[in-house]
Amino acid sequence: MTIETPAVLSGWPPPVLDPAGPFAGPVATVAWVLFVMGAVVLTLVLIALGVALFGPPRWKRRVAGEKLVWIGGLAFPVVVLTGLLIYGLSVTARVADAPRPGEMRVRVTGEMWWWRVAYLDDQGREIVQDANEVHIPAGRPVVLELESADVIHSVWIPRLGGKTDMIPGRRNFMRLQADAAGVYAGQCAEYCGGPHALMGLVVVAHSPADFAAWRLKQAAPAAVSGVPGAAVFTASGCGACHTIRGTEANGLAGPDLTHVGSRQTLGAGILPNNQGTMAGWIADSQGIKPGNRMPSYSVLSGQELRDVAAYLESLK
Amino acid sequence: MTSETGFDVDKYDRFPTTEPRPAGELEQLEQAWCGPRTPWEWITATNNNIIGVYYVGAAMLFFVLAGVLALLMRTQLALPMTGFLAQDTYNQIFTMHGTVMMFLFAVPAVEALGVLLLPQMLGARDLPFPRLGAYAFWAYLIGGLAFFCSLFFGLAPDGGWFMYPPLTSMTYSPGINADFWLLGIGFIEISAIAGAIEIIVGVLKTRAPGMTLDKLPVFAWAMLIFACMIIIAFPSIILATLLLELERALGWPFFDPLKGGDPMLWQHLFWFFGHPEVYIIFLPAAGAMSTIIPAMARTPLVGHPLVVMAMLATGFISFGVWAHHMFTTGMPQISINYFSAASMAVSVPAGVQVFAWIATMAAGRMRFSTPGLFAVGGMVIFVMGGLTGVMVAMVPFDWQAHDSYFIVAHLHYVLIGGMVFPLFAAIYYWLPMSSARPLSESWGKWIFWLMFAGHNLAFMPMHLTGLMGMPRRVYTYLPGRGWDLPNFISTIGAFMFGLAVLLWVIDMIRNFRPFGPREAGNIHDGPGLEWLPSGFYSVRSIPVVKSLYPLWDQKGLAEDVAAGRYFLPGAARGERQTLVTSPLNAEPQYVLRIPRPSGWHLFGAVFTAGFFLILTIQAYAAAVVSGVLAIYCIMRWCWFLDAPHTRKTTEIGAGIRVPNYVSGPSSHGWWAMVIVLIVGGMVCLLAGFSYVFLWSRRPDLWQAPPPISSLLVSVGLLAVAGLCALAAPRAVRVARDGAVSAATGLLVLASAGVIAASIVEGRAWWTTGLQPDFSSQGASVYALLSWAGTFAAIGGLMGLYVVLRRLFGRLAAERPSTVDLIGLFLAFTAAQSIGVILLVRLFPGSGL
Amino acid sequence: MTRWLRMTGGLLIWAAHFIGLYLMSSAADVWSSSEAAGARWMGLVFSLGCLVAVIAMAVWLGKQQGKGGPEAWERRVGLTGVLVAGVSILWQTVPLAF
Repeated sequence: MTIETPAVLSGWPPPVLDPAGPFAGPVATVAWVLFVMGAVVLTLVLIALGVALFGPPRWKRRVAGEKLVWIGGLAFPVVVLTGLLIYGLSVTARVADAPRPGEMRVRVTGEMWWWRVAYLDDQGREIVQDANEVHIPAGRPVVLELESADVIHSVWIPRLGGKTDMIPGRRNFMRLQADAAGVYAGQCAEYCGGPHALMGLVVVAHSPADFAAWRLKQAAPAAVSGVPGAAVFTASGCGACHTIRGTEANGLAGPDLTHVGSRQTLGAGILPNNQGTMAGWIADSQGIKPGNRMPSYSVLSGQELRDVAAYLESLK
Repeated sequence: MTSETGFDVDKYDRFPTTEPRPAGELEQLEQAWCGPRTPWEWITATNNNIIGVYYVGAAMLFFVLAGVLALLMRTQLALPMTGFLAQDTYNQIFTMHGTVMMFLFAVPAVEALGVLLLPQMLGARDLPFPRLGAYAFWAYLIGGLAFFCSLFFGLAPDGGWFMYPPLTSMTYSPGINADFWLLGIGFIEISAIAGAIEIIVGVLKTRAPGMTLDKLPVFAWAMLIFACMIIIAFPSIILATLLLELERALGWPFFDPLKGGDPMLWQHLFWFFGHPEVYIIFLPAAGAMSTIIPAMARTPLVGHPLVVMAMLATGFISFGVWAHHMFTTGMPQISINYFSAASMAVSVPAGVQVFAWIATMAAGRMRFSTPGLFAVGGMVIFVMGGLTGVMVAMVPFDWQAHDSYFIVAHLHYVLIGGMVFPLFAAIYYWLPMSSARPLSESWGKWIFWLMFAGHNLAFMPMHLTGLMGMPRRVYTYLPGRGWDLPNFISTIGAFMFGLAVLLWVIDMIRNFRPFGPREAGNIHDGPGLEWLPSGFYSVRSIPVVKSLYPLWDQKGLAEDVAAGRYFLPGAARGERQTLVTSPLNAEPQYVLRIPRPSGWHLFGAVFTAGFFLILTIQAYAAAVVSGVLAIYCIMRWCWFLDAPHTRKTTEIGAGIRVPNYVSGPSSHGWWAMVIVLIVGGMVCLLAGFSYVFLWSRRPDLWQAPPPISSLLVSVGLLAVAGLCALAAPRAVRVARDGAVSAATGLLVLASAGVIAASIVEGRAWWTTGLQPDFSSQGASVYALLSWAGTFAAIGGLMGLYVVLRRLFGRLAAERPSTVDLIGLFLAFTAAQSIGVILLVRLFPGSGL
Repeated sequence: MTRWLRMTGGLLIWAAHFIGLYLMSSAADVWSSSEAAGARWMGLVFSLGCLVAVIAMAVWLGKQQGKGGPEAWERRVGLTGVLVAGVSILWQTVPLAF
C-alpha cells in the first residue's frame, strides 16, 4: 500500500528548530543553547578522559586528584546548572501563562483517533464544529481548550510550541500563535492505543482578513442537494456518525463533514485530500488506518464511491 | 575507634592465628556446604553461588528476548508504512520490550549481581535468608516466562510500559492483556522486595569483622542504597497495580473521571516508583563501575567519600523528580518548576561519579581488557545521556522533546550507558570468579566495538527524528517527512548491537561448558574479598578487614584465609553458618545458622506463581486452591525456623566465643520484619495520599462517614490489640512458668482484636450505603480498609501459627524471636488500622 | 543513629524541604491558587528555615574534627552531602520567584 503524504508534513528543517510563532521561538533558542552547552561539556569530559587514559604523565597528574572531582563534578555543574535553571524558569514563565478573558478560544477534544474541533464565542459557547484542523488568525494568540472524550491524547504542533496533554476529566489550555499565514503539521504525542501513529492534526493560519472570511464560510452549510453522491451518502447510513449541516445527516460519533472538501488532509492528517484519496478512504479505511472507528465501505461499487467522493469533495 | 557492641576490637590482633587447624575441619566445611549432585538438588539449591548464577542467567535471558523484540520493531520502522508487523502486534511488542527490559531484565539483573557477589565481597558464607532469595528467584522466573509467553497468544499487554489509564481500563482494554501486565509486575514486586530484604540485612549484618563503613566495598554501598530505594519506591507500584486491578476487576473507580477518579493519580503513583526505578537500576551499575575502574587501573578510587555521598544523594534526590514525566499534563506551574530544579540537582551526583572515575583512570594506568573497554565506553555513553537529561529537565525544552523520539534516544543512552555497559563490564570482570573461566578477550573486543558502534548508530539519529517531529510508540510513519533515512540508520545500528549480543551469548555458552580446565583465579588482580580463593562455602575463613582494598593492602591475606587462620574456619556441628556483625563497625555478634535446601520455598514459589497466573485467566476456584497451597508451603517453610540449638555459643577462632542465638533488634529476623513493615506502611501512606488526592479532585462526591459510636469500638479494639501485641515479647521473657503460654495468649488476643476491628469498621461503612464502586470515595475508603484488613488477616494466620507452635512445643522462652516478630507485626497492624480509620473518618472533616 | 544522621542529615533536610514545598504548592492549588502570593511567602520562609538547618548541620559536623577512623570518613560523607543538599535547596527555592 502506498500513501501519498500531504505536503505540509515535511520534516526538514526539523520543526522544533524551525519555530513559526512566539511560543515556539524561545523554546528553539533554549534548544540551541542546550545543544551548545551539551557539546561543550561533552568535549571537556572527553578531553579529560583522553588525558586520563592516554596523556603524558605530567598531564595525567593534573587530573588525577580529588580536585578534578570537586571542580568537574561539583563546581562546574553547579555554576552551569544555576544559569540554566534561571534561564529555563524565565522562558517557562514567558511561554506559559493562564488564559485571560477575551482571548479567542477553540476547544479541541481528542478522540480515538481524531480531533473534534469547536470554535467558541466569548461566553465559551460552541459556534461551529469541525475536525482534524484548527484554523487560527495569524499574528495573534489563540487559546486551545484541550479535553478528551476517551483516553489521554496530547497535542503537538512542533513549529508552534510544545505539547499539552488531553486528560479525561480535566481541561488543559495551550496557546498557539503563528506569525505568518501557513499550514503547520501536528500529531498526537501521547500513546492512545491502536492507530495512535496515524493521528495527525493540521493548523491553518490565515491572515486576519482571510480568517474572518473563512469563519463566515464555515458557519454556513455548503451542501448541495440532488447530486448522486448525496443519495449514496444517505443510503449508506453515513449520517448516523457524521454531520453535514443543512442535510439530515446529524451523527455525532465521527468528524463533522460540513466542509470536508476544504480540508487539507483526510483520515486525521494522513492523506492529502482529493477525490481519489476520498474514495480510497471510504472503500478501505481499515486498510489505510487499521483499527479506526470507521468501517471500510467495500460494498460500494466503483461508481458509487466516485459519486460519494465527488459529493464530499464539493463540500468546500 | 569506640566499640559499637562492646566487642573488644583489639582481639582482631589475634588473627591470623598460628596454631595448626584441627584435622577434618575443611572436610566438615565442605560437607556442610556440599554442592548439588542430583537434579532435584540443583532445583532446590539455596546457595547464593548457584541461585546467583541462575538469577543472572534468567535476567540475561529476558535481556535477549526483549532485545529480539527491539529488532522486530526496528525492522518494522526501517522503512515508512511497512507491513512487517501488524499494528496490534507492534503495540504489544513495544509494550513488552519496555516492560521486560525494565522489570524482568534491569531490576532483576542488578539484584542478581548483588545476590551473586555480595556474600563473597562481604566475606559472608551466604546471604542471611537464602531460601527467601531462592523463592524470589523461582517466582520471578516462572512468572516472567509465563508473562512473556502471553505474546505468543496475542494476549500481551499493549498499553505501553507505563500503562496509563484510562487506555488500560476495562473500557478501552477489555481483554486480559492488561491483566497480564499487572501479573507480570506482581512477580517482580515480590522478588524485588524479597531481594531488597536480603541485601539490606546482608550488607548491614553479615560483613567480615572490621569492615567498617569506610571499608565497605563501593558496590556494597550501592546495593545497600539500591535496596533501600526499592523499599521506598516499590510500594508505589504495588499500590498502583492493586488499584488498577481493582478498577478493572471490580469497577472501583480510582482512575475513571465519571465517578470521581482521576487518571493523573496513576501517573503520580507510577512515576513516584518509575523515576527512582531508573536510579535503582543505575546505582548498582555505578557501584560496579566504581569497583571495576580502580581494579582495572590498579589504583584506589579517587574521591571515595565523594562517590559514596553521590550515591546517597542520588538515592534521595531521585525521589523528587517523578513529575518530570508529567510536565505536559497541566500541573501547576510552580510544582513543575520544583521538579525541574530537582531534576537538575540529581545530575550533580552523577557528575561527581563520572569525574571520580576519570580521576581514578588518570591516577592509575587503565588496562584495556574487555571490562575496561566496557567501563570507559559505558561512561562516554552515559555522559551523553546525562547531557540530554539536563536538556529535558528544562521545562520548555521538555514540552517539545517529551514523548518524541528524542526521549527514546535519551533514555536508551542513559540506560545502556548507565546500566547495560556497566553490566557487561561486570560480567567480563567477575565471570572468572564465578565460573572460574574468563570470557574470550579477542571476542570481547569485537563485542564491545560492535555494541558501542551499534548503540550510537541506532540511537544517535533518534535525537534528530525526535526534533523532526516523530512521536514515540508509533507502529509506522508516513513517507516524505524526512524520517526515512534516520530510521533506516537506526535499524542498521540496532542489528549491529544484536550481533554483538549474539556473539556474547555464544561465548557464554562456550564458557559454561561442563568440561575443560577451571582455574582462572584472580586474573584481574582484583582488590576485593570476592577474589579470595573460595568454594561453595565462600571463603575458608572470614578475614579481619583492615582496608577498602584488602587484597592489595593486607599481605598474605589469601593464604591465611585459605589456611583457615581467620574467623569461623569450620562448620561447627556440621551446620551451615555465617557470622553476624554489627551494622556500623562490623563487630562480631553471633553465629547465624543458615538453613539447608528444602523443597518448601520452591513449592511456595510455584503455587504463588500459579495463584497469580490462574487468577489472570479467571479460573477463580483453581486460583484459590493454588493460593491456599502457597500459604501452606510458606508456613511449612517457616515452621522449621527458630529451631532449638544444641549449644549456646560457638568458638569462632582465636578463643573468641559468640552466641548462636540472639533476639530483638540485634537479630537478622528483626531487621527483616521491620523492613517488611516499612514496605507495608509505605503502601498504606501512599494509599492515604491517593485518598486525599481523589478528594481534592471531587470533594462534592464525599459523603458523611458512619456514626462516631462505631469509631470508638474499632479504635478501642485496635488499641487493646496493639497493647497485647507489644506486651507479648515482654511476657515471654518473664522468668516464670507459663510465660510462653501467656505470650501465646496475648498474641491470639491481638490477632483476634485486629480482625474484629476490621469487621466492625467494614460493617460500619457498609451500613452507610457507600459501596466501593459508587464513587472515588467508596473506592479509596474500601481500598484503605482492605489493605489494613489484609494485614489483619495475615495477623490472624500468624495467631494460628503461634498456637500451633505452642501445641507442638516449638515455642520456648529462651528463643523469643517468633513471639517478638509476630508481636511486632501485630502491633504494626493495629497502628496502621488506627491510622487508616482516623484518616477516612476525620478527613476532610465531617467525621465528628 | 547519630552516625547515620551524620552521613545523611543534609540530604534528609533536602527531602523535608522538597516534600514541604510540594505539599504547600499542592495545598495552595486545591484551596486557592498555586499562584497565590501567600503560599509563595510561606514557601520562602520554609526554605529559609531549611537553609538554616543545613547550615546548623554543617556547623555540627564541622565541630567534630577530632574523630578518627571510620567516623572521620563518615563525617566527610556527611559534609559533602550537606553541600549538595544546600545547593539543591537553593535551587528548589528559585521557582518561588517565578
